[in-house]
Amino acid sequence: MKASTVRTFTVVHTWTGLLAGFALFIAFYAGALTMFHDEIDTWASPRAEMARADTMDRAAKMLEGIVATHPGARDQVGVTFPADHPSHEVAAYWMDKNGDWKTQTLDESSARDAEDHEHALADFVYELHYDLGIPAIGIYLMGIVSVIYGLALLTGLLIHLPNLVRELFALRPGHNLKRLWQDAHNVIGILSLPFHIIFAITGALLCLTMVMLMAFNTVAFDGKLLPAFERMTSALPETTAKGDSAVMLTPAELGARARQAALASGAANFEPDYMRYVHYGQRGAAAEVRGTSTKTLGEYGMVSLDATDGRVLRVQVTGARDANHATYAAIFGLHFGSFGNVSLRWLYFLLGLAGAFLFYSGNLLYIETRRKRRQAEQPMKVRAMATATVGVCIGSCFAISVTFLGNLIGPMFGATPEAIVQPVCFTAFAAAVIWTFWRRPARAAVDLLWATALVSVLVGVLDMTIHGDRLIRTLAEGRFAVLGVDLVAIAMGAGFAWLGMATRKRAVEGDPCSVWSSRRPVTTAATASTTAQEA
Amino acid sequence: MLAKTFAGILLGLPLSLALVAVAIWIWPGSSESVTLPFLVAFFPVWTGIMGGTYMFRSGARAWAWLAVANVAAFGALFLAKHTMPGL
Repeated sequence: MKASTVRTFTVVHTWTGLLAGFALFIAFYAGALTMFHDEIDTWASPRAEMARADTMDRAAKMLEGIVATHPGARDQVGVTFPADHPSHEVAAYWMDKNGDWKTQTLDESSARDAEDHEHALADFVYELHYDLGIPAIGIYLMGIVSVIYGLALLTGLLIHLPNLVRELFALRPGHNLKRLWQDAHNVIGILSLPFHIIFAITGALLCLTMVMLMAFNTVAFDGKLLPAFERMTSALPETTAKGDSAVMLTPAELGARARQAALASGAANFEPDYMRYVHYGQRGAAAEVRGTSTKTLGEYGMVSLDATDGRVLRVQVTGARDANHATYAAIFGLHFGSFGNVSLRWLYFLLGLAGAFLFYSGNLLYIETRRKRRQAEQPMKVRAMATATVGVCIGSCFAISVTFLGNLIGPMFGATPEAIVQPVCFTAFAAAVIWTFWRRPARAAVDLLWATALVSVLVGVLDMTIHGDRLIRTLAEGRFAVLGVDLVAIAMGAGFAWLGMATRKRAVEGDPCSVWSSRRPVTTAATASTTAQEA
Repeated sequence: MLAKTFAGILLGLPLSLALVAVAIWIWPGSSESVTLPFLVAFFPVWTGIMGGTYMFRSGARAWAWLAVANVAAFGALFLAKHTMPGL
């Protein structure tokens, strides 16, 4: 490759990294945590009890009540299964006359808006992952970020292609810190490249599928793609209501029959997690049960059944599905890391944190490349980049830890976690950014890392103290989710403390001609140049 | 450089749409049976075009060649729509 081409791609890599890096850092950090969504969910709501044996019978009664009060729900009404997640809510979902999605859980007596942003902790962290907590447009923003991320990956790969193998085994610690950061950035980037390619593609798809479909539908398929997409992603055949009322089989019964059909088709197992009825309560009604199977790339499979007699209509589960259903399930499986057991989730967790490091180190390289080596005062763009990197990246780690703490101690002051997680997170984030402006990045980085360490350790220790009885009960039942979250919080706190110590060392002992030095500017030019040469 | 960037974004988008759509239309056998796997290729194709656009010698050349490619791809799509069974 010509040197000028490499230079061009380097500029593109820098700019795409600048544009998308901050959003991607938050998405990867929150996404890594979301690999343990269910564990965090269990941890976050100590009072949530195990699903009762009669849960799905009560769900059937709830559906009867819903279609009686909301006739619009007859067209289509869905309900979640508790599956094997003790803290999963059993909730019904349907669209009302105005086209708004409504929901009602077993414990609620009336319907509410399904689109409200009152999330419990685990769902809130998940939301940060896919829309940064920005309602409505955040998900499209993250879709565009995913496309930019794809371009950054492509250009990054092209820059390093000539030296790919050589750089893979190069990690040169020593005086030249920039080279060490560059090596670390390259090694992690190359080693986790397949993982990043998966996320750039599936991330864009998950955020922008509807936009993409609409464009293809109008431009290339004259309105025939949207109805076809329904066929390509569901197992429900075309059905028509025949008017007369009919008795519906219960979700529990339909789930059991769907499971039987899935196993008969060769799935290793099939745990129903969501189902929907169409034409509920009428003759001609059908139901589609979605469930998860293991030992497959795409865990989701679907079975559709006649909702009155339980006859199996179509089966789209692993081993018995077409290319469209397999692709659709694989997009989710690859993105959510659900095609393996818990060790795969740990791998995704570590790769997610490594991804966050990749974007952070990219920003550091931007700063190091533009550093003035012979003067303490650094250019504006370097200072701005350092402030933004510390404020946004370390600030979001801090904010998420504070949110966990808020979720833990909020209820002691009468607050419901759903109401406080978002304001707590955003306030902590804003405080971290302001702190970074005020203290300058070199000191603020140390402060925020220490604060994040302290808060994270507190989250684990306080939970063990306050909810010790729960911890012992879950351990006695052989469930390790609560202990796991506590220990990971403490371990991550230790990690942040280590980063804080290293950053402090850099601020105090490192080259003073850097935005990362907290020392007062050195007075004479002579001493400044000697230290620059040493570095 | 900025001219190439915008050529890649603005002309690369319809070009990749048309390329993927043509591939679906001319697929031998049932187009619907392979629609989703092909749609997955849309974002990678667009990204590839955006990256490839920087190889042009100038912004004007990038715009010109991508415009020609768009005309060709949409011409092919038009032909496919009128001769192939479709979804």
